[in-house]
Amino acid sequence: MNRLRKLHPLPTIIYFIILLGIQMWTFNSYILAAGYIAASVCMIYMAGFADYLGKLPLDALIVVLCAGINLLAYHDGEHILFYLNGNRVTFEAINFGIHMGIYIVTVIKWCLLYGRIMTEDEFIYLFGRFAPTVALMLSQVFRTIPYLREDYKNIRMASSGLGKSGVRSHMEDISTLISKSLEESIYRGELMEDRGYGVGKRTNYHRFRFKRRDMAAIIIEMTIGVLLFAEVASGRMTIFFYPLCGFRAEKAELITVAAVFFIYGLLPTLLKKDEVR
Amino acid sequence: MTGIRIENLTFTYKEASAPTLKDINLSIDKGAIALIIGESGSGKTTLIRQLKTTLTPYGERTGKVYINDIDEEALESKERVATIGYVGQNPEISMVTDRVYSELAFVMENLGEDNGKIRRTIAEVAHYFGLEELFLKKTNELSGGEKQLVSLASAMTTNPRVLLLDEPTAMLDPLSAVKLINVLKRINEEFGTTIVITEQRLEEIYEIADMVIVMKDGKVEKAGTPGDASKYLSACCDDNGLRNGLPAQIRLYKEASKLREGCPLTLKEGRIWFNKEFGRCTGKPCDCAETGTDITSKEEILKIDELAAGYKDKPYVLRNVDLMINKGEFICLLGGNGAGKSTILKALLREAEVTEGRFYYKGRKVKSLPLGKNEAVYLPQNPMAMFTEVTVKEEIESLYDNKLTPEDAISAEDALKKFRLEEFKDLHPYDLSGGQMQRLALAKALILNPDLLLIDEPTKGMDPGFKIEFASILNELKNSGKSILMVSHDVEFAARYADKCALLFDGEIADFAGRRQFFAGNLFYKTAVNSMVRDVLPNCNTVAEVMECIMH
Repeated sequence: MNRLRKLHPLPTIIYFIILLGIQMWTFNSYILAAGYIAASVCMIYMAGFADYLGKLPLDALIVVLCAGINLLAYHDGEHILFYLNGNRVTFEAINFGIHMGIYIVTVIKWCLLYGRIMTEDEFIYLFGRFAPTVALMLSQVFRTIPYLREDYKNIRMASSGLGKSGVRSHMEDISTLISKSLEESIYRGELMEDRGYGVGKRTNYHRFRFKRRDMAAIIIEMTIGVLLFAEVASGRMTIFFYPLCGFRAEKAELITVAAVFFIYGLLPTLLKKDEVR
Repeated sequence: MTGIRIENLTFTYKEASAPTLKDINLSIDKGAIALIIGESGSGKTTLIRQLKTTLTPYGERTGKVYINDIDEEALESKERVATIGYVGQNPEISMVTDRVYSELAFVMENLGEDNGKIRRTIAEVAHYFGLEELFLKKTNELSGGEKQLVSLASAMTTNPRVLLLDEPTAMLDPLSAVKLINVLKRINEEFGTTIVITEQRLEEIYEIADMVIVMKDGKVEKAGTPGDASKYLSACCDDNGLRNGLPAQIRLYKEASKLREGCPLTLKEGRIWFNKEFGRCTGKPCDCAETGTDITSKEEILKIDELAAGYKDKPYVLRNVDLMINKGEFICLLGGNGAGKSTILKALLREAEVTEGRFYYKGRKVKSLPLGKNEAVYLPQNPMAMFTEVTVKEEIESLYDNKLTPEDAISAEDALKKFRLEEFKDLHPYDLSGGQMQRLALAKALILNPDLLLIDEPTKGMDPGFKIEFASILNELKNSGKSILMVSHDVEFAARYADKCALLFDGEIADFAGRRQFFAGNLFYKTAVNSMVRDVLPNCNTVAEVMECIMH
């Protein structure tokens, strides 16, 4: 199958806003399941199965922790399983906890997917359109962080090279790092001014051109998005946990909405992998 | 129409008692390359910074600067940015954005140009400077030479009439330096950009300069063609600072020739002159063939055995390194950019991942070098990384234990005197000049009385005057039985002062021998002096050695 090249940053960010919006706004088992499976499939496609398996223990741990915390904290629910220290441990509490765990894991997976698809300069570009100064600042931040990391190593070597060690010397190193970078930023600022910064209104150069398929992508995304948001906003996707687990809408409707969301979540697998990190 | 005209310029820094620049009058032709040379403190940098208002420091100025016959101060801000470009010496500080392409776009973005125009210009510039491969790269991933090239390209996006460069190759390795100078030459030839440049490393730039300006104590001592300047320079400068910085061909001529005329301007001319003058030297026994220092029966202080080390993403930068340092030896480790020279030091300090190999320190096997007082001490490339205190005095005092005993206090005072830092003792370390900072860093290292000193690229950006001082401090250290391992690009420094040299290549030590022997066989890794005299005296690497030989 001939996969698509990456889209313009605008449809990409709209996609993720809708995706995360729906995922985070609902707590519905069907949508959670659809979300988790779609996110996992996408991540396996992007990062490989080994990566997914590697993360699995941590995901499981999160789910177990959430279930555990919830069963200890909440004692409502019809189906009592056993008693612990005089408190009721109910199926509904565990159920809620499991939902919460999967919710967290799924949202994390979507965020990781976002990180793989959206690059820093695409992100900066989105700001550059209406706030070039912010765009520049972001670009500087992205430059400065690795630079400071490298510089810290050098400072660390310098101080250990004099025989210093221990917590105190680490704190000193951080202080040196800050002083040094502040000092350098004075010169950097001067150079920026010399190169014309502040001379007038700034524009922001970008490499991204809007194509017809980007418009098409936005239309598709917004259509699906509106439908999904309408369903969620109407309250029909609500799930009850206590005293019994139940849904407001009919099973058929729930499955349909989840299916649409599932397909929406699988869309990133249509992208070519070589442009993705 | 002159390119740059300076009339009666006098400049005094704010709070300074005397002017740094005194009544400068200069006229630089349009489209010329003007090289400003002078000792550290002669006012070179201050002068260049007067040519663009945004670079001029706070202070009082009288006199005028004209760019293309227009008063520079009267230029509109946008015009100034577009007409005068500037490249500094520190590649780290000049990078502002995170990607090469946005760095190239920076100046035009500031000027409010539209996307289309920026795109067209960047495409041209990237092509001209050969930056197409680097276009999308992150600026952090570039080497020093690449960063300076990007800086230069970025300055050229507005097609400036004047380019000011303040020691652009100071922090670069020799290869990148040559590349940058060649690009400058091309720019000058193809665009007619007037270039004003100050430099310490003069071999490459001297040849292509149209005008040489010699500065001393804030005044212009001589301004004229390279030929005029050489005549002046070969007669003058018995103070070490400027003399040591002169290009090799002039230095040799000064020492070896009795004439004052006909000083060679290029290495090629130097070679031709030398062969003509001293060609009869061949055949005479010359003890330049001696292999250098006597390496018998010396105690071993450091031994590196079969070292393989690297980093997470590059685990085998070093594959099989063997190195031995004896007491009282000064070993210089040479090698190209990225060969792994610094990695050896990092491995010794446990900052790189050691996959295989053993270290022996003073005969004992160790996992990593013991560091600190009376042991091994590391001197980083950038002295600023070492400074933790607020005054120079406190920097020195911080090396002693918390409570300063009276003896410690006296010892600290002595250290300040010895390294000529006394007058700066209340200054913040960052307010010192480059050379002063290096002195302070050296002072800190030497107070700890190290048995082994590990130095990382110390001569980068070092002015020639201080190089001599630095060498003599190292010599003193050596003679008191301490050892030095220096990692460097500076072939000239190694050829003059090291006992032994090692060449790192392909993860191994490709050559390790006494200084003379090391350079004797080399085709490419040689000093400028040697490249001039090798037909006659193949084993002589420095002016001093040549003089020794021809005295016979």
